[in-house]
Amino acid sequence: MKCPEFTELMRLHDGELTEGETKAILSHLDACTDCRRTIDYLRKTEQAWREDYREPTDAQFSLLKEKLMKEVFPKRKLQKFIPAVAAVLIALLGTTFILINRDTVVSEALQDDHLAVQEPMGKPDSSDDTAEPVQPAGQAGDTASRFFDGETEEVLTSEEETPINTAESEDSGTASNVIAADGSSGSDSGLECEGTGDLKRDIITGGTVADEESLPESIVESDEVVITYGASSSAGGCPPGNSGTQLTAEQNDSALQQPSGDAEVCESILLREATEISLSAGMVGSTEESESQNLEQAESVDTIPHYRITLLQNGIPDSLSTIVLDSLFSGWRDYIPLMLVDSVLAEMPDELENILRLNAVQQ
Amino acid sequence: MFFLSVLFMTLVSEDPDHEILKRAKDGNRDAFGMLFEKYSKRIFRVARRMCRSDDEAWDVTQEAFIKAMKAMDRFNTDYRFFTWMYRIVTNTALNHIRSRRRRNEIEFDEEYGMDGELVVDVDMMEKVIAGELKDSIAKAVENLTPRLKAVFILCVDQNLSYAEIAEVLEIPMGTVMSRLNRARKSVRDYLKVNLNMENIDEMS
Repeated sequence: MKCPEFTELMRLHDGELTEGETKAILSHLDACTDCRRTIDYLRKTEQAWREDYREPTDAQFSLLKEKLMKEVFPKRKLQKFIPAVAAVLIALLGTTFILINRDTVVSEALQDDHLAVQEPMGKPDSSDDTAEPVQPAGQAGDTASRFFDGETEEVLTSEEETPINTAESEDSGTASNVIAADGSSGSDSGLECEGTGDLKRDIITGGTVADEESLPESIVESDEVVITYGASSSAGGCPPGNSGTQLTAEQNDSALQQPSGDAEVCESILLREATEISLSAGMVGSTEESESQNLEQAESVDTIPHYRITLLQNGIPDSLSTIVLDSLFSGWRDYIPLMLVDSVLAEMPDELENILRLNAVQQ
Repeated sequence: MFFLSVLFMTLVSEDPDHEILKRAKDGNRDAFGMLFEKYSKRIFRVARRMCRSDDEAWDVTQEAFIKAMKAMDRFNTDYRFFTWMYRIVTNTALNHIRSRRRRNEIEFDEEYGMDGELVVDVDMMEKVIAGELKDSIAKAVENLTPRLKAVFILCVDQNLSYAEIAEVLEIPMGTVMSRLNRARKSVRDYLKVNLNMENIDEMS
C-alpha cells in the first residue's frame, strides 16, 4: 500500500478522519515504519510544546479582571467613592452645625458646669460674707457702672438663687450669695484688658455669648459678693502688657470706695491671684487689703473657673482650649474625647498642665 | 412531545453560557465577570502563544476582553461564545504583531499546496524522545508566520477541530488544513536546521 500523504497522517493525528479512513490508515501504519515514526514525531513534539507553558497566577488574572471592570464599567469608579463623599459631606455638615450652634451648646454646657461644680462642694453660700470687695486696679466707679450697664456679666448663682442687689447692698459683710463672673453665659465677659478698657469677651467666653435677656436680673440686684473678672478702668488700671486679666471680688459698697489705681498693686494682685488660683480648687479674688479673707474665700468659693484665668495668664486664650477645659471641669467632661483633652493640655506649659489635670481629677 | 423536549434540551445545552450571555448582553457586570473567569486563562494562553512576551500577551488579552465586552450587545447568542472570543483574541494578536512591523518573517503563500511529505528520521526521533527539542520546538513555533501560528495554536494547543478553527478564523476548512500542513512542515524544517540534522531525509 502506498504511503498516505502527510495531510492524511496529520488529519489522523488531529482526529479529523472518518472511521473508515482511520481504519485504512491504521492498517497501513502497522506495516509502515516511516509513517508510524511521523505520527510519533507529531505526537511527541506537540505534546512537549503544549506542556512547555507556564500559566500565570490567579492573582494576575484577578488584577486583569479588576482593570477590565474599571475600563468597561467606568461608572463604578464613582460609586466606589460614594461612601467617602458621603462621609466628607456629613463631616462638613456636622462642622457647620457645630459652628452655628456652638455658642448655645457651650453656654448651656457651662451653665451645667457651674451647677455641677457647685453642688458637690456644698458650700456656695457659706463663704459669701467673707468676700472682700476688691477693685485692685480699676476704678470702682467705672466697674460699678459697667457692671450695672451689663458690661460685666455675673452668672453664677447660688443654690438658693437669692436675688442680688449689688448696687444697693450696703451690708456687704453679710453677703449671702457669691456671684462669679462667668463670661460663658454673659452677654459680655467681665474680662477687661487694662489700659484699653476694652472688653475682651472672646477670651473669656471662647466666643460664647448668651442672650442678654437670659441673664438673671438678680445680678443687678445681687448681694454683697460679686466676684468678677477684672473690670478695671482704663485710666488707672494695670499697665498695658500685663496679663490683662483680673479676678476681682466686687462687693458693691467696698468696691466703690476702694478705687486702687495703683498699677503695681494691680500686678501684685494678679501674680498672687495666679498663684492662689493655681493652688486652690476654689475661685478666689484677692487683694492686698484682704488677703486673709480672700484666702478663706479661696477655700470656700469655687464658683469662678480659675483655670480660665490661669489660661489667660499663660497667654492661652484659645477658644477651643476654653471649651474643652470648661467641659473638663464640669459634668460634660465624660463627653469630651480624651484625645481632644490631651491635645489641648499638651499645648500648655507643663506646670499648668499638671495643675489642670490635678484639678480636673479632683473635681 | 418527547421530540420537542429533546430539541429544547439540545438548544439549551448548545451553549452553557447562554444565560450568562443574555445577562452580559444586558450589561450585567457579574455576568461579564463570570465570562472572564471562565475564559480568561484560555484566552490568555492563546495570546501568549501568539505573542513573544508576557507583557504583550496581557495587553492582547485585556484588549480582547474589552472589545468583547463592548461589542457584547452585538453578539448573536445563537453562536458559541468561545469561538467568538477566540476570534477576537486571535485578530487582536495579529494586529499587535502587525503593528510591530515585524516584516523579517517570510510570508508564505497561504494557498501553498498540501501535498508535501513530512519525513522524520530515526536520529531526529531519538532527540525528540530525549526531550532535547523542547526549546527548539518553542522557537520553531515562534518563527511561524502569524497566520500559520494562529492555526497551529488553535489546533495543537487549544485542540480545536478544523471546523472550529475555520469558524474562529472565518476561513474555509481547506485553508485550515493547508495552513496546518505548512506550519508543521515549517516547524520540522526549523528543528532540522537547528539540531544539525544533516542526515535528515529531505521532504520529497
